Amino acid sequence: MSLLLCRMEPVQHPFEVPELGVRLYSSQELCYVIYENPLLVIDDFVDDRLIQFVRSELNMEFLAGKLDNWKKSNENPDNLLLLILTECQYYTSSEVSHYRQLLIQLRKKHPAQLAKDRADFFFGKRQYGRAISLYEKLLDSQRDNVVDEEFLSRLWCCLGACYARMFQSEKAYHAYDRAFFYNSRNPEILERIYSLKAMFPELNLDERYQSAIQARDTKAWDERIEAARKNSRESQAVKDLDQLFMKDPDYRMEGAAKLVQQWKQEYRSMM
Amino acid sequence: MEGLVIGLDLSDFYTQVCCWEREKTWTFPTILCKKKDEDQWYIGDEAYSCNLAGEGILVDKLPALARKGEAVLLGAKKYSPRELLQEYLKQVLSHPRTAFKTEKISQLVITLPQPDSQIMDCLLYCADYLEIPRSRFHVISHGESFLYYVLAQKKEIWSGQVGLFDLSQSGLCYYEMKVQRGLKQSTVLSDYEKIDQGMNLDLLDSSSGIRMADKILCGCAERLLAKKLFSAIILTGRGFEKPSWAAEFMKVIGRRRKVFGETVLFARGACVKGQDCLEAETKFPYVMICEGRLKSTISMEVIHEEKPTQLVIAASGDSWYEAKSTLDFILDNQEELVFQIQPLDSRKRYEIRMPLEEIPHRPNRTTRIQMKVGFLDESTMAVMVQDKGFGELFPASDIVIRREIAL
Repeated sequence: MSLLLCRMEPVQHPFEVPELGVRLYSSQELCYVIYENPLLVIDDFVDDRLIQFVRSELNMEFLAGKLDNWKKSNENPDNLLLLILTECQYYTSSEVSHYRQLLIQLRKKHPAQLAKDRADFFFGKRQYGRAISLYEKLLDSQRDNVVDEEFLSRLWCCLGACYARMFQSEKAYHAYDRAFFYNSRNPEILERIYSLKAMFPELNLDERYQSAIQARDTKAWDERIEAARKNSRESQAVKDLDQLFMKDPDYRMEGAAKLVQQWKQEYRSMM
Repeated sequence: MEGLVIGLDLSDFYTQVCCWEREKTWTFPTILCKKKDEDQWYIGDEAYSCNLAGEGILVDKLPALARKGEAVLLGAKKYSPRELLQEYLKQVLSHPRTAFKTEKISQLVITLPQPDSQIMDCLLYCADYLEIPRSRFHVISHGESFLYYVLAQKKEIWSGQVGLFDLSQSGLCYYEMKVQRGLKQSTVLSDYEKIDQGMNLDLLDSSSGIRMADKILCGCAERLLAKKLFSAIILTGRGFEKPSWAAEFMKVIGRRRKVFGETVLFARGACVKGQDCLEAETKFPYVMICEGRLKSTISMEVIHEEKPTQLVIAASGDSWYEAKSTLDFILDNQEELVFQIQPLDSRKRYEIRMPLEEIPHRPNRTTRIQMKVGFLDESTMAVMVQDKGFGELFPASDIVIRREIAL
């Protein structure tokens, strides 16, 4: 139990992290983002824009100078992140050591696996556009014992999920088709195609999928689709929307405008 | 030419003014007169003359009005106490300005018998109106003026305790100063006691009253000075302008002690403080404990550079009015603020806890709070805690927790 005394950092121009859809106003927030999102920051997070923010907004000239020098001398980028965590003193030395170990573990991963983890991270943050570009880049990876057919099938599956969430049914279908091509033994892919069809009934499925689906017992799949629909119908967002439309017209319009703005922003960051 | 360093003693009944290294002093009754149907103001004898001639309306006890925040109707217009004090101070300050042929004021120190936040605020607005920057304007208590006055005298005067009897229209007050040496920093303390035994200047209008007053004073002196080692006793106030009426009292206080008289003591003390403010380094490196100054040190344990550190919010001897601070903290599994109060007597250290239950629950170390601390008087601390969230990652709520803490 303690109180951490904060430096006075009169930030006028916050540092934008578009991947998270937030702007940072303090060294503590910067540290939090670094610590909690290693996959986001592991590559090229410490750039000139960040160094400028540290220098002029956080007023940490010493740290900015050091970051600048290390970057110019091609220092290990992980050390730049650790330097920020150490200098800002938001995390304890043991927490910084733990983070160092985490970065080491990540770096030990196969580059393709690490890149996929990063893409999955962006998927988790609903940054589908960014995730798609990373997944697509990985498709061109050199084949080896990690980048095998199953790995490629998983990549295509992830791409399918990204497109589906962006309501691009044709592209999603194409991706699942490719996933099935690399791993036809995975029943999950067939289920995803089935769910896609349920979500977009106008989608024309290839003959072989139609027959493959007919040959299966789809009861469990239907139940899952129905459960997902029920979940979305009863979600807090829908309840909030219902409540908004029960308000008087002035409040309703004001709330609706805010919501549309929020949706627009979410959609922009998805892309 | 350098500007004036002015000490101004503002009491309900009188106002005294003096300037650094100048002999001339002024004493005015604290009254203000506004000429009927004209925006013409008078103070002192002119105010009385104007009022007696039926040409003006008189207002008295201006500090008391400011303390109560009462507006006054003069003719057709209502004046706030601040407006009246502004006009009064403007008129008062015109005297030294005219006498010494300079408009410039380097320092203005106002001394009051009992400064409270109401009148302090009012006087600060007056300083703005008079275009005196706040860095050159100070308000102190009579107790503090007394300390400055004595400390500016030869050291032998304050080698022991120093007593001060102040007899004015407000009654009889006793101040006592002592120096505590041997601590980290020497401490100078001033105690104050208002002696309420029907003692006032009206008693001195008759010979029987004089005898009674002398007797009361003797009793007080015997009680107050007993078993203590005094190096000097000082008399001030209108009642002691000619202390020969109190022959018995003079005998009591003069026993093996030096006795001095000073009619404009508080204004002179304020003047010493004003001059000291102009020095690059203070000539009085003491912790001063008196009215208007905090008698306890308030601190909190915080983590700084990974180590627990005691952060002093306000130290004993700080002016309670000026002891304001704003600090930002991040809560690390902390659900309350703990203030450590260290009175001058180190054996009486205690803690005051301020729960922060209203602050929304967030992951650890993602709640930033802003704590503003000020003082309502020398024994009441006001704390305001505002939830600042954690930027856009965990947005702030509008929650503000306020608490007044009796020290």
